[in-house]
Amino acid sequence: MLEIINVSKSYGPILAVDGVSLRVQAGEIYGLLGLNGAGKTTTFRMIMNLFSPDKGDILLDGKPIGYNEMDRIGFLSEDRSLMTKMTVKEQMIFYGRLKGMNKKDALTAMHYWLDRFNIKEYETRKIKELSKGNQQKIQFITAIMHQPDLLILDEPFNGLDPINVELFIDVIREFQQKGKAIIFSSHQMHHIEQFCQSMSLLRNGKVVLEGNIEQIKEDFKQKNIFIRATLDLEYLRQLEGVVEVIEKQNYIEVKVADAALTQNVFEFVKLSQDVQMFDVRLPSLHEIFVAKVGEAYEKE
Amino acid sequence: MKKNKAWFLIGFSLRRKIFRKSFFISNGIILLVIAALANLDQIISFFSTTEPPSFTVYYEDAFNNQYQNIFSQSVRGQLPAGQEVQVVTFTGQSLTDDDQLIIRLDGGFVATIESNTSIPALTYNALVQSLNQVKLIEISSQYNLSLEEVMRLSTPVSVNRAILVEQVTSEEDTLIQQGVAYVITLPLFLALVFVIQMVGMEIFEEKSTKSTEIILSNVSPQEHLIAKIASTNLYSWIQFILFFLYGVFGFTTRNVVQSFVGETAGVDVSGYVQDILNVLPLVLVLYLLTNMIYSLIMAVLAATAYEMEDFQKIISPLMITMVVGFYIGLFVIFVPDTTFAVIMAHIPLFSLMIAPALWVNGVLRWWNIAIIITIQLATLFVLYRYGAKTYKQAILDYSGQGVFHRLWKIIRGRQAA
Repeated sequence: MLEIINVSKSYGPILAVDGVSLRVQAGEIYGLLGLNGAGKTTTFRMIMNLFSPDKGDILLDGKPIGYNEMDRIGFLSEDRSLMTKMTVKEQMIFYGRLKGMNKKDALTAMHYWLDRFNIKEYETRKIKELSKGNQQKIQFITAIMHQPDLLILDEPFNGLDPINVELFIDVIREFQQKGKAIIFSSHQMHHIEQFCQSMSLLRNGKVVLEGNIEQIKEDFKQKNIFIRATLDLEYLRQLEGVVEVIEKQNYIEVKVADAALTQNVFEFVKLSQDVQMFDVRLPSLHEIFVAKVGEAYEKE
Repeated sequence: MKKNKAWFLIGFSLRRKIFRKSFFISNGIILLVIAALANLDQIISFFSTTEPPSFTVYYEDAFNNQYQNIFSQSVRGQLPAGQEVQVVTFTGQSLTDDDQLIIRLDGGFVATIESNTSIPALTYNALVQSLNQVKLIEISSQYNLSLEEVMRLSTPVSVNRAILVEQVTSEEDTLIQQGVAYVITLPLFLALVFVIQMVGMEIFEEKSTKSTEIILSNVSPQEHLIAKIASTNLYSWIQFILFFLYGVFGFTTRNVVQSFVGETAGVDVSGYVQDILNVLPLVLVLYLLTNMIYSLIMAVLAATAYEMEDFQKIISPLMITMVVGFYIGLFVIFVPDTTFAVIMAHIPLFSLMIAPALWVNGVLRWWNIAIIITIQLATLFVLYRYGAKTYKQAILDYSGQGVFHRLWKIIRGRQAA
């Protein structure tokens, strides 16, 4: 579906995107991660034909992206790209028509989605009169109302309460099931873990980690062991390969530098008389992210 | 498809301006105001309930009041229709009312006019003229001259003034031309400010709300730029046509109003109308070109700003330039035949507000107009060529520097983050 091949983009002396490559298949949700300024927005802007890459190619179904392909793409930007003086109806028709819909189809889609998102009473209200959450719903609807084949979602859950996040998730899943390709960016790692099959991690414009998320977790050497037993924690900390021991309310979390070293921990734990739990788990995406992009993320 | 989207942008933007309550309300008000202005004299007359004041003159002259009848007839002949005067011999009466006057003329032809209050200008003029009549008759009698001889003595030399150079005009023509220049310059300036502000605000609004990110992913920045300028200019032309139709409506209603009020003395505006019609084609061409030039500059400036303070800062030099053009336009009405005025008329940013006035005054020839239009077209071409590139970079630039620094950086060709 979407292929980004060795794309670079500079702003004057600043190299914003440096040789990025990624591929998103139909029916796949792809995560794009990175700190602020890592190059995510520039990558999205290039996909959206707002900027041309200095180098490399962006292809949709094998064709270079241009204005003719834009009707097949839906974009929800991080900032609310809504004309606040317009009414909801005007805004929907405006963006729908820009995406190649006729007025009748745009109105039909608008009524369906306003009803689905429980905001049909706002049809004649001005955008500026709506709450942030409802504005986000409007923006989301304008991105999906023309049933795009490729959906780009830049921080889609900004300003939403948990109930509406679930509503968004349902719709995104629905699009995935219809075979649409979705690129998804979020600072909240659990959303990426929840949604995405594959991901790229950008740092200073470069891809530092890319691939299937489960595989990334498998390949990441550090593992987490969750133990419920009576143990000498000081001794545990001295074991080879143990990076960190965290004492929680009902269990102990042990981080080991390499999966191969979990055996050492297991040998020690089984000496205990009351082992209730010994569970080796893959690291969270958050841990991988912090490990890859450093402390800067934690401080954000 | 892409071209359809550009047309859609123009149509959508135009519809948003026209199909609004505010448009219909303001146009309704304008229609009423223009109709009222066209019938102002009729309306004043219709609501006027006061008859011209009649008055009494207590008359005395140093010639045994022998000229009282002549004075009386002369005054009656000169007063406006409906105004009555009663001339009574002065026998020491005192003024008890505001409509009473005492006029005394001594042997040295010095007259005294007494009244309790001010005298309307037309009445005063009639009284003075009538006293002059008395003087002429008395002098002819004293020196045994016929009235014709006295009249010949007092009549000023008649001057027949011939103007041999075609472009030099008579005083009356000059007054008409100055009036026409006034009538043209102010609405043009206001229309220009209105349209330019509208272009700027639309672009600024789209940029500041980041809607441009969605719009410009579907149409090119050049098409977006042209759509903004085209829709706003179309709107201004539609408004112009409506103003014209309102004017026609206003003058048509004169017949209706006259049937209620009756014929009243009007002002002869045929000279003005003829001059306005003569200059209208030039005004329309210059308005179109100047609008494009200013709109292009405004669009680029507005695209650079994304905060209101920045927007106001960056458009202020342009607005000041327009005001300067307006004042120069007013100035040259009085001194049209100067090198300064002619040079200013050729500067594309000022041409619209100066050239029509100079054309009406006969200062500019057809070849001046040809040069002015050529300069404007060349300016438009250069502005579009470089302005469109700047606009393309500026419209998506949200970098944090000061707005003038950002503009300078973009003009120098460094693409912004």
